[in-house]
Amino acid sequence: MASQEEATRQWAVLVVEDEILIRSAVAEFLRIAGYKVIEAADAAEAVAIFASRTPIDLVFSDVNMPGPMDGVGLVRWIADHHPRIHVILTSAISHARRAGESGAGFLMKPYRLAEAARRIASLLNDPPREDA
Amino acid sequence: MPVDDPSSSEASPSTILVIEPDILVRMTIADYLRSCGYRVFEGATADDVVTVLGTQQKIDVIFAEVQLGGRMDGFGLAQWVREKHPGVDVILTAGIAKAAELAADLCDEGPLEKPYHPQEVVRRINILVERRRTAPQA
Repeated sequence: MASQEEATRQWAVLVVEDEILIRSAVAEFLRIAGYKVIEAADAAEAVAIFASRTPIDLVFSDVNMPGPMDGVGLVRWIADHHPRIHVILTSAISHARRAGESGAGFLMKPYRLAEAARRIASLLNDPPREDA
Repeated sequence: MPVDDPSSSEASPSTILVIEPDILVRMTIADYLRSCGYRVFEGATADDVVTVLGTQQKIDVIFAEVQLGGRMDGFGLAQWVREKHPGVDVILTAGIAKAAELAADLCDEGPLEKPYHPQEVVRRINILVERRRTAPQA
């Protein structure tokens, strides 16, 4: 059961998505839901945010993004460097298998924002992940 | 109470689109402006501006770094916006200190009180940038 401190703490979600309209819609919805939301346009920006030691509790990332690292690569990087952080990948059905094999949670596009919020809440209210 | 929006008698937050290629600067400036009560969208390139302004989303101010990657820099972007969307204000910044100063000016007009001094914005950005610089390589 979550402690009172955990119940009142504002969780920080990193939304990684190259399409600005999708990213903005997800971020705004999650802010209204009470999360602290940080936005990244690609995996490189996500890595830079982690390097800056900005507190992150969960990453919500698209799979297909421009640049040398896609969402699956980001999952691997996070597993290596921040194994306690939950990750949910999103993609269209064409990338679903790769996303599923990554070990991260998965939400197929198109998704309802309420479902994304429910999945995020579910993971954050679970016991913390064990270190790898 | 903001005086720039004649269509609203109440202090409804204006909407700002922050365009900045450096993610650490962008997120810090965006956070600061949200703390002042603004609704803030975040982008990295002029293409992001074109995309957002192509929707029904009302943007009141574009807060853009001059040095942008991609096909248009800040000056080109400002000119494009003046021609295609003359109702949208464009504020151009160059560098962290200027961005913080201009963000503070916006906060002075914002619905909420300025949460902290713009020097704090610069300090926070510099801390994040230094951490990134010294982080172990992936």
